[in-house]
Amino acid sequence: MLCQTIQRPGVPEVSLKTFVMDPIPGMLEGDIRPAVIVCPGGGYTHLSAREGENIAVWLNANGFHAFVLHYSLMKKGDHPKTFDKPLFDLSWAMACVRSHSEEWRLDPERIAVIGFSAGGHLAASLGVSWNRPEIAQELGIPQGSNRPNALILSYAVLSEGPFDRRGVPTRTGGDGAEPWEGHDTKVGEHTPPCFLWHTGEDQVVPVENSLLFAAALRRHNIPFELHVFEKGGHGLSTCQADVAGSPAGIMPENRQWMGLCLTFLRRQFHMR
Amino acid sequence: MLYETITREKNPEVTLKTFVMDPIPGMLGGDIRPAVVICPGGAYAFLSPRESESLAVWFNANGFHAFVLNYSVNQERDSKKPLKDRPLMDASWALSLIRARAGEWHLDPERIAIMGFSAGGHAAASLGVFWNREDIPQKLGIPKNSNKPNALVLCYPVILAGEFSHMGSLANLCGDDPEEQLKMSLDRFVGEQTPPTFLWHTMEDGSVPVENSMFFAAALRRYNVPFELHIFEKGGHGLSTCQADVSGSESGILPETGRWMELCLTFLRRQFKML
Repeated sequence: MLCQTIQRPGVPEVSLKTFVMDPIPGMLEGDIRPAVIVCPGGGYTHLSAREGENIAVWLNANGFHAFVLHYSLMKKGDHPKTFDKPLFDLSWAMACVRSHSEEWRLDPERIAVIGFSAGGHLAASLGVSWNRPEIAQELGIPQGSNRPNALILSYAVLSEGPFDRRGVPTRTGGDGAEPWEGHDTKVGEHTPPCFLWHTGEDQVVPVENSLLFAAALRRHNIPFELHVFEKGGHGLSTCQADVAGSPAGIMPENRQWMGLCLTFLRRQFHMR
Repeated sequence: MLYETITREKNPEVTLKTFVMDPIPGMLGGDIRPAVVICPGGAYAFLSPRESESLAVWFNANGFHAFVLNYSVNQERDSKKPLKDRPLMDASWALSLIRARAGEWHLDPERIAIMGFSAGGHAAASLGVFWNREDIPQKLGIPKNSNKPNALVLCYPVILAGEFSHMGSLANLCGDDPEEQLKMSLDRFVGEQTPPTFLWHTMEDGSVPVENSMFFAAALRRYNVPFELHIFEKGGHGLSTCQADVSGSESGILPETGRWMELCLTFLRRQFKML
């Protein structure tokens, strides 16, 4: 394992933790692995310890290199609608991982991003906006080097929808006075294949976020899977006791998202 | 993650790699985790990378701290210079060291399992039956009982000398003398000191016969030691997680046999009273 923390140059609060597996010689599929960048949730006000390292080691255990991104958080005066620092952080991280492909023995065309809640918002923002030319210019990275090859969106904040007007609490983080800009309106042919999961009972980020985003993917013929489980609140992570703050967080039936997600990623990445 | 390599002073080729998770505040079970020490296989001649890190991160993903023990091996496969007690001493050193750092690493000193594959299963099982030998703490300068494992996980383990033995492992460990090998035929030494044990094997194993697990289980039964034994029909020796990332050929990808992993977690969680 290569475990190290890489700082984003000039942005000391942003870093990428590497969980790069040792190569095993003689394996059927060679020693070049796919990779996943993990974006923990936390409403853009903090980074949840329940959606970081434990996700990285799970991916490791299934043959992926993994990385945990500590991205920029909102400060007083930051406006949810214009706050896009994390998109630059994630673009930097993606380009950084891709540029280390040889050294870390990873496939530069099989790099996914997984995000939880607000981290899902961030992952999706890269999925819909990675090709904005000013990102590569500002970061000084090659055009396209920040492109994700797949997205995993876990109970993600994604869209503006009619549910706002029903008075349902829809947004996490920030002052919440104005909604995020919806990602569903920016989906296009440049958006990579997406796996989404959510719970119908989520009281913090309504399931419509995933439903509307999936509808946009469908409209643009982007391969996707969407799994909505009936039971369970927001922020279940792996649904296991080690990340559960209460008995309600231990949900073996919802934990099936993990097997479904691996099957989806392996299919997209042509893995066994 | 605290990832570091600790070297055994007396024996620098012996190392313990730590996969110690960061604590998460506010969780239901607190932030003190159980731990597992992993002994890769390799016929007591090498250490298989297919049975090391991939298991450690799997345990991490399920709430355990993990450690990979690179114990002494007989690289020249010279049965004139057998390893004798060295792997047992290495395992004792590792358990004692981990237990001594329980506070620092946020782990429960009474919930430390040792897991081994093939010859590594022999190393793990040898600790399970011999940990209370009085010469061990004396030789190592460790507190009595500090090397005790709280559970064993034995994956297609080498256990037996004689008819069903894996000759290479036994020769590398004990030399060629059948009497010496019999001293390491571990089913004979199971007793009340042996901790709860999970075993799995494949019936078709052409390298380490399934009798190795069956005879050990029969001995556990005799002493009323809690155990589970899962014998799968299909698959050869050394399947590890049965997944593509640790498979050298198509025949190593066996999802049905890979069910041992859930069974093992269920067993460990029950023994360790985890949620």
